[in-house]
Amino acid sequence: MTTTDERPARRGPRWNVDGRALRLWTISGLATTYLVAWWCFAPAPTTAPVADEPLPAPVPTATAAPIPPAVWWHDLPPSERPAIALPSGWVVTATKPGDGPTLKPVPIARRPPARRVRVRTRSS
Amino acid sequence: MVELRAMGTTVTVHAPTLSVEGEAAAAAEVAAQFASAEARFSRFRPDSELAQLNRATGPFAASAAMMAALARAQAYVELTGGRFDPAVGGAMIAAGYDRAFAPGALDRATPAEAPPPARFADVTLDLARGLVARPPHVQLDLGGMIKGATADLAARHLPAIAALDAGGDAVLRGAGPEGDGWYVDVEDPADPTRTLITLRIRDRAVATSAANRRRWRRGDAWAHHLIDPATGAPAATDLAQVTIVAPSAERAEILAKAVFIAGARAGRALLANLSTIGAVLVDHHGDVELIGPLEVAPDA
Repeated sequence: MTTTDERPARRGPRWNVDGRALRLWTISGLATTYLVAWWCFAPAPTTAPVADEPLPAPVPTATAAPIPPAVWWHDLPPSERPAIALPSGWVVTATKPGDGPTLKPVPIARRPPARRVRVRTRSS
Repeated sequence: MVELRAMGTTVTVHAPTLSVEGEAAAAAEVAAQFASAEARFSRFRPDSELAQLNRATGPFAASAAMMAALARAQAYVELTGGRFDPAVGGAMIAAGYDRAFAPGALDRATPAEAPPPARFADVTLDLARGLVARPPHVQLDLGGMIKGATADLAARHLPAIAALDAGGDAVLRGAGPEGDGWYVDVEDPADPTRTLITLRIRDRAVATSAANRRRWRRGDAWAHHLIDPATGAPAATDLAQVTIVAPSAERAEILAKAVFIAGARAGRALLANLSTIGAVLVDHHGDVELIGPLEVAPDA
């Protein structure tokens, strides 16, 4: 007599997901959590959104001419210094002590007081 | 603006074209001028030259500064017809003004004593030798005149636009900080918190005489420092206050005192001969009279 082993069939895992599906589920859960948190706690915008303005067209860099080397005006020999038209009241000052003109001290001019100065005459 | 104390009053220096440091330096120079004048001319400092002159029993060898001041005083006696007279020092003492003034310090329960008659004409000035001889009863007082003269002298050290105010006697240099003159408020003698009128002054000086501030009680009566040389007593006048605008603070001070003592009618007669002098006369009713060249500020 043969006996038949009638053991019940082994049940499969309750969540039948493979590793790939598990990663997808995990990523989806984290993304959902992040979006919910952002929606709940992100600061409200303080200004109305500004419509995007078209960016100015990029200015093509002139590459045809070489960039001249920069020098300090005082480093040039006096004969090679270009004439500079300064705005009224401006002076060329020194880059190091003893170089360039000396600025004269300007007397302190106090602003007139808000109220007119008055003298009071009386017997004393 | 810098304030300092000198000659029993507050001296204010205002030099708007200077820096704060420059104004302080100018005020120090002014203070030195006032200290020097006070040391020489004070009636209350025993070591002053004037006090020594008032104690001298014979001819007194005076300094050049003292002789110059006495010579000017003599000219003012003549100019004012004797309403100004520096020989009232004894009368001031008799009235109770025998020490530096402070409110209440001169009050006495006893009435004023009879003042000794004294005239500056009794004093002999030997200008060539610098000698002064005075009778024993003549005590000299140069207080107001010297205050004005010192303000004039000290103001010469200030810039072209500056004001020096020595307790109401002010030297006003230039056309003021805004170019339209210095604004000078004339106090109401009946209410020192009020202004009667505002004058606009350029390159001149101003001084005021009234009996409302420097006064004290003698018995049941009030006494004050404006002594009438004719009576030797505090002047009884129909004027409550006189303000004078003049080329110098010394002259303004002398004329304000003389017109106050003279009263309105004689005061007008005195000023009639002085075309460069402006005057503001205030009577006891508060009526204001303007005499001579004066410019009243538009917002007065």
